[in-house]
Amino acid sequence: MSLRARLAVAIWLAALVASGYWIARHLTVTTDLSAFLPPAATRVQEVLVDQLRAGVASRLLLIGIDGADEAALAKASRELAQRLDASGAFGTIANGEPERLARERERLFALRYALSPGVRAERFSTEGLRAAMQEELEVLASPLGMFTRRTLPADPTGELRRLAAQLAGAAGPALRQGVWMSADGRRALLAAETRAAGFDLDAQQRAAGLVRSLFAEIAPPGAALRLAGPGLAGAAARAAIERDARRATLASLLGVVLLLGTVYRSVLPVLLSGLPALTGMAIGVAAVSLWFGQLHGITLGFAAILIGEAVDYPTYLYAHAGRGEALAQTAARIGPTLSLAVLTTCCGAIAMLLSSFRGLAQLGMLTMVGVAVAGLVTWFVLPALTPARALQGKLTRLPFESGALVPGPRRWLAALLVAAALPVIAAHSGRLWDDDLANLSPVPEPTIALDTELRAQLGAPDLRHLLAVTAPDREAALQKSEALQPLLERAVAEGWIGNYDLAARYLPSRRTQETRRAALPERATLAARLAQAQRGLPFRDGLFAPFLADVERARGAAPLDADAWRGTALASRLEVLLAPGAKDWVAFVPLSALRDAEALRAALRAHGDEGLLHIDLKREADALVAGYRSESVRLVLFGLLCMAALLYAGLRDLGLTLRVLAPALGAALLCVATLLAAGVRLSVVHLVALLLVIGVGLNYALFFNRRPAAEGERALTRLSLVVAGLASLCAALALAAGSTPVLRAIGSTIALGTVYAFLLAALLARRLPAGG
Amino acid sequence: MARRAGPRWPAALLLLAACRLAAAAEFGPADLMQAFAAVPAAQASFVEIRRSDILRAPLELKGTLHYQRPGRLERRVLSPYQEVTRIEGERVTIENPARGQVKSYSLAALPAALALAEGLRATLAGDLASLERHYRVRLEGGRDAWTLSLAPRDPALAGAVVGVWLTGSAARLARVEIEETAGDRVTMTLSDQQP
Repeated sequence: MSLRARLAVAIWLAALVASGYWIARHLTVTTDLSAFLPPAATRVQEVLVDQLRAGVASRLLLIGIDGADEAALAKASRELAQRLDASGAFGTIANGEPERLARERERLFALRYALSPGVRAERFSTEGLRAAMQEELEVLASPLGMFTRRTLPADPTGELRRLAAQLAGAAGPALRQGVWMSADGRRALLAAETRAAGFDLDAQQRAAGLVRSLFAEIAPPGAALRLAGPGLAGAAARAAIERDARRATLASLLGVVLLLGTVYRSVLPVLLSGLPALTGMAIGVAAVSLWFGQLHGITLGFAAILIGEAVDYPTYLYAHAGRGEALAQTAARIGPTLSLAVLTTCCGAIAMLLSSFRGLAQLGMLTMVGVAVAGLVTWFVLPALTPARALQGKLTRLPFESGALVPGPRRWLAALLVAAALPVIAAHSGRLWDDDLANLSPVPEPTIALDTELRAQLGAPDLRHLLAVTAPDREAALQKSEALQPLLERAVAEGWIGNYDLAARYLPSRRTQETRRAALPERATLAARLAQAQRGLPFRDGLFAPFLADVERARGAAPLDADAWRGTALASRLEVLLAPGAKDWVAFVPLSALRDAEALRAALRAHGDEGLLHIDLKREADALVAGYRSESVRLVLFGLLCMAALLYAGLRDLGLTLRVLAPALGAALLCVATLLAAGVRLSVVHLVALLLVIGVGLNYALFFNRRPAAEGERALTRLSLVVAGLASLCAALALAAGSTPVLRAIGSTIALGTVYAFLLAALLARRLPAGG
Repeated sequence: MARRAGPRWPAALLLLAACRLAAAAEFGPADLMQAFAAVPAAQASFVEIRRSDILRAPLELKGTLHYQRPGRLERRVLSPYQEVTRIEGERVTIENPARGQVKSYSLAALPAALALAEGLRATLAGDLASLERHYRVRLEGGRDAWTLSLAPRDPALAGAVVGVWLTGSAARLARVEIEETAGDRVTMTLSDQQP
């Protein structure tokens, strides 16, 4: 072994050990979908990403129990809710049982004079009190009278009723046997809010496991548990990605090993062929982890493609080795072409690396580092490690000789193919892109379907529309949202929106609390007014002593803050509705059933608050994806330009450069046309895959157009190209067969692209005379 | 004259048969429900008296009650103030014209109110199944004078109501009495029933 070879092997080993060490110590793999979101450029996007990651909606676990009769389901619902409550892993648990809200009602009652918008000075005047008591008398005599009977002595102005009506908000599903059930009574419904954040997938999975095991303790015979929720969906997505990635990696490995075994008829070259790819992977993963701090599961899934790509390089080397030729010599012979092939792929990857889409940037980094390393290992390390006799038994030509593979002037056929693609693309130009964030979601479809079904049955808010009020501090945010209330009441009354929620309902601003406190008369005054107001009404004397005491207590109470709700369902609701941002405070106003966005927007504009935003989460998400996509188009074009420039610099021949570029670009066009014709709309993911297709296409075209050193080399080149193409196809098909939409999109695009690129490269190549 | 004992046993048999007939003729909840089910609509005047220890004197309301098959019930208070309560399907609406107030609630969200409303509505509709879903039902008396006792099954209602007693004759309701757990008693007496 020469000194150079020894050095190469030593460096290779050192790099491998170092990256292995890094991976073992520091690698964290995430499946947080928001890693595939862009960095929040605007305040609205920040809100969007936060809501997706940790908002209350992201923590909701939707639970259905079915498969038993109504009474058994109701019993199971009660028992499950009780056990979930006792477990302490959940904040709010709701199943429709009114008793579940007893704690909240109790707290509301205790705080009614701080919270109720009905607390105004005129309400506590003699006339106000008389009107209130008259109304209470009528309520008492109404069919709903028994429900106010108990609180009447302490609350003759009916503040609790006012607050409870506010709290009830959306009605939720129908009650059967005292608990929530679907309209047909076949499924009992519960909603539990996990304490863990939605993006903490391990905790979400633990919570779901806990629900399952608690359910098993109480399950009526035949009953089944249905679980859904964003956290669970994330966990399912992670499992699906891991499973797909593992399967695809295994399948492509198996395919490639079989293929290479057939060609080399020896074990050693097959094993050694894996070295560049594995080294590239290891160093690439370490580089991504070093640079980004973590690695996304989807990036890892991409590794399968990388294996298919990087296995090509040793194939070019081994297949081109002549009988008895030293491999170092072969490497030197194909070196210029190989290095151009490696560099052009790196170039495409650099374009991805520049993306603000963190997931894409990771893919770019992994590809760039992986491919470059694989190229280096092929060139420097493989010749040093492969004994000459290992390749003695290999095939030197294809077992068949297809005319299509012999380069020749059949440009018209290629032109016809590409020309056929153009009208297809033109016909779809209006609906080329799919900007729905949901379609990028790696969540398996059955999981989404169950989530949608349970959500509809539960009437859970979709949290699509929000108002966000920003202010420098909490008090100002509360005051501003209180100022919005008349507008919101009007919006409900006019039917623009179904309902809304507001932090100030649970935590009024200090100023409002102060005003309310000032409206409460002192004890002696109130007692005198009460006595006068009661005249002529049938209430027993002294009945309202608890009222006098409670008002007196409210007058002396400390101002209310968020702690007042600790231990109740409202604590987490308040946390979501009022949150500190990086520099300021944001009060969110979720709107349900938005029916007239135009009218609402006009009213909001007239309201004239600079810090007020109307956020349509779905529209924002779509805009976000569209923004990415147009960025990606720019990056792909930039990558193409870089590749073209690099090719020209390497080949120094404009005609040849165009001949090499044409099959790659043509393959990309054909690929797009085929996808569109199959009803697929393009997303960012397809763009990335196209960039890879172009890289692969350039490789084929480079080798097809390479001037052979001797006539006999043509057969070797054809062999190497067929083997390389089949290896890529193998890896791409393994991905395309998976169930994760993102990986499937990448796999199918590359599989198509590989076939087209190979075909076009063969059709367009010029048969150059041998010699150097 | 000595008579043979033999011919006496057919008389005993006859007596037994008569007893069985009487048993068959006994007026059960199903019979009452059948009678009510034949009535498509009804209306009556009512006087409702609430006795409560939070009141110095009983509170008396007068008005009219209207029922229409299968699920529409309307209670119009005419004095001492005006108020209309409508129960239709899943919704209760309480309208107070003097205050210009209309309040609407979903019965689904108020299980106790739903059970209470069903006590009256299901009886008038002759829907025994629905009645038994909410109450343990007992019927005493005969066709001409019966008392239907309803003991709530629903825990929400049982927390507020001890029992509901309906009395009447044939498909004609005469009185509704409600005893609340807080000790209040409400008695609604119906008159001038049509049809």
